[in-house]
Amino acid sequence: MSSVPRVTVICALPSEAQALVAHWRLNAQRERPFRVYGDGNLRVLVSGVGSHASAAAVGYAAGLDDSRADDIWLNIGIAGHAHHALGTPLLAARVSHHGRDLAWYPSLVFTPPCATSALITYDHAVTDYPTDACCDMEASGFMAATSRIASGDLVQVFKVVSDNAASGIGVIERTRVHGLMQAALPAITALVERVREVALRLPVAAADELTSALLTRWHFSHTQTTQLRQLLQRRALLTAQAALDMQTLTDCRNAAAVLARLRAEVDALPLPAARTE
Amino acid sequence: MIETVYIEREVLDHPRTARVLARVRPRHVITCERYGEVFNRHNQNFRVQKAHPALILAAKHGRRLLPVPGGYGFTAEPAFYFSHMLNCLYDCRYCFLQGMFRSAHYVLFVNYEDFIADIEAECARSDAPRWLFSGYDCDSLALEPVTGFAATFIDACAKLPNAWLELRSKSTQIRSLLNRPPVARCVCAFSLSPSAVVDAFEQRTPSLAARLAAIKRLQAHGWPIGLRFDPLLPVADFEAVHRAFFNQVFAELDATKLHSVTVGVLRLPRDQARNIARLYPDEGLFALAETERDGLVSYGADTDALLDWCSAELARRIPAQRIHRQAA
Repeated sequence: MSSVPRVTVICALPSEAQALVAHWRLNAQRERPFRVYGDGNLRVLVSGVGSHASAAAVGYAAGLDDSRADDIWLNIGIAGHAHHALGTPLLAARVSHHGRDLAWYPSLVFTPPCATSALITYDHAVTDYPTDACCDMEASGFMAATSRIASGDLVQVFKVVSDNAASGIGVIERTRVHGLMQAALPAITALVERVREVALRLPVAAADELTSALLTRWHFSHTQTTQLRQLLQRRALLTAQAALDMQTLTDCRNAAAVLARLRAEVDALPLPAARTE
Repeated sequence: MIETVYIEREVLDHPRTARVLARVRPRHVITCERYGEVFNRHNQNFRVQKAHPALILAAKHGRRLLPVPGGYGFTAEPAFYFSHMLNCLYDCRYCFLQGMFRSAHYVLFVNYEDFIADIEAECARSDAPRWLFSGYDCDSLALEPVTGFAATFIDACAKLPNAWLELRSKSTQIRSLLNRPPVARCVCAFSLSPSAVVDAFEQRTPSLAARLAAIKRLQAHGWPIGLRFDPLLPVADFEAVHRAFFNQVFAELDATKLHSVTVGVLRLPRDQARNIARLYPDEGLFALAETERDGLVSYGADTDALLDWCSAELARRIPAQRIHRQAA
């Protein structure tokens, strides 16, 4: 696992993505079925408008690479709100779809870089704003899709208020969206860093040359490989990473004998004194 | 500091909700329908959430008073446990809660009146004593300034002539207990471990010295005190470490006034043990050899020997009939 958790950002509109792509200096990687910018540890996808499109983009992005436990998923874009000022950044604390009971609660396991708000996803653009929530057209699809593939603690929805009761959707156009996203970049980059810090709390599998050496020398079944990894991990913890003398295993005729020898050694190990000194 | 509070719609107007909010003063207040929408979802991670847990205010429905598991406690009389709260401020590496829940958020059930009604109904079934254990899925006292749990439930149980209440804690939040007369049928039970174990395995808990100082004040005030040497961990130099530990404890406390002492080794249900080991693959405690007995996993060689040794050491200091071994 890379030491830097991978971030995938789903935007509905090219104009929402543009400021992020420029800020992070991402290169276009794919054109169809979704525009993809960046690779490695940071990428931005343009899903198109609507919750189904957002869900489809999540599924597509998830299939581009092997999934990892520390993958971070962000839905970033614009939203309407009855009274918040234009340009206000908001982190969704509750996401629901208009007319449906189901709701998602993105984990606030860090200090948010901006205010939080409930968010309601609609199937159409809204001019009659709800009183206590912002509204968009994608987040519920994004949450539904990511809830099946990602750690729930690493999924967030971030919106910038683009329209409100005083300034409706009629005046939203591309350069304005770009400007709103540009102004929200400090909050967005802070969000990315904070969620990455959360992801780093997940346990990371250690690099493992010894396992490779043993797997090369004897034939281990899939189950035996798992057992070997567990035994070597236990041994490393109880011996403070003491090196294993391969000579002690040379007379083992097969993988089962290796496992038995290691198990006998590890089961006899006490908790190191250093643990409670 | 708790930044985020989720509130079930049902308890939005509950007076205890208002009191908790006034005390916590969260930055973010979010309404939900049921606490299960936020707590313990399938793709949550206890270890991740533990660094920044939220508080969830909810109502407890269904069975609120449950029979204690076999081998729990120290009495053959009918015994029950109840959980006004799920999860704990502290971060003990061996705690079974991290294997039982996927979420580390604190859930506080604010409908104390329903718990108390259930306790009253159970105690009305016969005149026989009823033991009521709190602090099973949480620490009874750690959030007392916010929850007012002990203050409320001690009064309620004191009115019931056959109710015996145990508060189980590692906390030093004892002000509410010192500000009132002691209740003979309420045992303040404290979990104690050697300082080396506290430092290595009981993150965010008060030190052993602070716990002993709190217990000493409660004992002087007249509260019945229970000591819980549970779990004993198979640390290096076990006997030397624990002999010094017991000497320290009984130099501070009046052994003749102790209500009860229990001893037990670390034991976890198989599934919970597996979940915790997955959460903390870097923890040596769970790398020790496992012994499974009656579905419970223990760690280290010969746990019976640890229990025997500790029981014998304790019997030198307090009457043997007050020492209760917990099932290994």
